[in-house]
Amino acid sequence: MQIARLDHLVLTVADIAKTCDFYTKVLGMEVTRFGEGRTALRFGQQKINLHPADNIPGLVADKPTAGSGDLCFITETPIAEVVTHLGRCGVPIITGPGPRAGALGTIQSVYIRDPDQNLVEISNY
Amino acid sequence: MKMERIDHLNITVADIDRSLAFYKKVLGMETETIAEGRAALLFGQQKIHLDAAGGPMAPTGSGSGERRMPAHICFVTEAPVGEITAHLEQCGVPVRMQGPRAGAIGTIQSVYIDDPDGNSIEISNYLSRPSG
Repeated sequence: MQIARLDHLVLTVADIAKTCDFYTKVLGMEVTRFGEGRTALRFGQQKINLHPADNIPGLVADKPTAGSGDLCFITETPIAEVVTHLGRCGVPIITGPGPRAGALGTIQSVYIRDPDQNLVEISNY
Repeated sequence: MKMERIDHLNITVADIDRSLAFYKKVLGMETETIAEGRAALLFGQQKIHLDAAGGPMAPTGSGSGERRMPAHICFVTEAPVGEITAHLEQCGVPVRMQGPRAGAIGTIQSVYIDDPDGNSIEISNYLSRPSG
């Protein structure tokens, strides 16, 4: 059995509305609703499902924790443009731009934090 | 600015060798040792970094939690569900539940297991049902 790609992952968040606002405005994702009032952030062929920290559904990880995420996203936007965009959004850059080891080779990355303090890396090849 | 895909994510594990063995055997990933206390799992165009809890790359500061990304992660495979469950049984990995779910781009057939750190792992495919 071979794994082709990630389909989705779950982030436990303090405030779904605040998270949706951040990921749509700063990372250009699309908010979708599914199931019984659940929320996801769509991008490319993948999505992130959001679980509210105060109302965690049945089948979840052992210790779901808001702010424990550490994720890297690929964009085709050049890194200088990423930096300009983050500046316009008022989102501080933690570190970067700089080279990092991506899954397929060297990426140029900048690091920011989302509203739950998850570490978010934005990169391109 | 649009995001195309996830490139990688980082999780903290109690025992790197145990996790490498699990993901290699059960999920068929390639493994790569990067440094003491740090390794990677490779699949498709993506990877997962493993950092040993208490190791040099493990998160310690505020805002990252002591146990990074105790996660739910869903992977896509082209193996049919019957093949997935047979493989898991061969590996001696219990299936927690299975059935149709809402994937990122449509309905998936999913099988849920736990990894050695208690992360919830979903293995899915988008294959259409057998014709007939």
